[in-house]
Amino acid sequence: MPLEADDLTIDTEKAAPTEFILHRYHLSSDKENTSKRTLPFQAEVLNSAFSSDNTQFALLLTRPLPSPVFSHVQSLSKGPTTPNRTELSLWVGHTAGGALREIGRLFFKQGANPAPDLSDLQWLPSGKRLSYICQNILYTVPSN
Amino acid sequence: MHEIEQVIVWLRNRGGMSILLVEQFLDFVLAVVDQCYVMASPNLPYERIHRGIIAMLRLPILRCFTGLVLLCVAVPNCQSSQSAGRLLLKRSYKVMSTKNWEEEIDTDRGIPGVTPRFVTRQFNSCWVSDGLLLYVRQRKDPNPQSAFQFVLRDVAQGTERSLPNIRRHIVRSKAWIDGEELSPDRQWILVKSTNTGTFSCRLDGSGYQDLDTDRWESTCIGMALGGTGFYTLRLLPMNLIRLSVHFVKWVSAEWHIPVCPLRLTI
Repeated sequence: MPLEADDLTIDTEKAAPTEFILHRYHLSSDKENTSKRTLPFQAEVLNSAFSSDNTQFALLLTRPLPSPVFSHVQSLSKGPTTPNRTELSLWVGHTAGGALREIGRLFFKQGANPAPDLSDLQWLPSGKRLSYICQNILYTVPSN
Repeated sequence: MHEIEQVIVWLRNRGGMSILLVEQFLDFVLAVVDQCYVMASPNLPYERIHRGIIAMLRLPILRCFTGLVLLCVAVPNCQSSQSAGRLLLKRSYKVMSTKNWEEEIDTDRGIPGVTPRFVTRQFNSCWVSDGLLLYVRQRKDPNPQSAFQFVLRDVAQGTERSLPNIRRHIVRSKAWIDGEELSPDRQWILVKSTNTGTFSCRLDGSGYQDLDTDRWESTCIGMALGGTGFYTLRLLPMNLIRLSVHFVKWVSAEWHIPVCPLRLTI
């Protein structure tokens, strides 16, 4: 296994609402590469994890629901309104580039007790699965 | 696409409605449907389609969403299942409960006259391989150091074995554990401590090395400021790892030291 001392980080503070910046710092050359990537929708990046070979990353996104467009459709239908919820969704991508791919999502009622949690996001060594803790249970999920 | 999905899921959640969706993106379909039929052109699963048409003929209301290649048909007794909301857990494999991974610590320990503040902290897990999980289990013990038990769990078999030598190092170093990390080759563990006592060793406990930050300056042979942190290069008194790179990163008031052993020969 090639061991690199590169440092990969994801920055959302300096990016547009629908973007994030992938930083790669090469320790050996003391150089840093950055690339702007696009989020699938306007969301907050809660957590991120890189695979052990640094070729893949996972993002945990959250956003409130419903969206403005959805609320507009609701108002046209004159039907009952949807309660506000929080969506957590798990996405993976390649550090080299390309679009993000969704692994799955969870919905939580806003103000739910206990609060929605999806923590300890990490890649398994092969890079074929991810693990996370949700509601005090450790899960693994395929990354493809 | 996501907003279309929201609309579909919302219509389903209202109940009393069935939606026939003809869609080419399988991921999207799996996120919103209860039942899915794959049609390999030109062969159609006739029986399934036939049943669907019979069911539709009984329906009182017909709604069409043009432009979405979507046909919505109201069905009196159709119930929503929120399949999109369960999708992540549906795809996931339950490994184990993590309830005993938490500990309640007194952050003002040892300070007389100060009301203790108890906070709950959860330990992380590390994957030694795809089938082998390393985690820290709590047990009731008056000695906070010996309360930590490092356990290797075979996920497929469901069997566990403890790693007592790592706990001995914790007791000896009086480390107040703040987490653990595996080296990139998964052979070494770094046990981080909030006070003195940070150390690393092999999973069987051999190769113990003290990584107390108080002694860094004397062994540091180079430093570099990276994009997100502070790196130091230092020599370690080990045979296997001749030169190690430590990446030091401050997160809030905490620091951590991922050990990245580079197999370089000096």
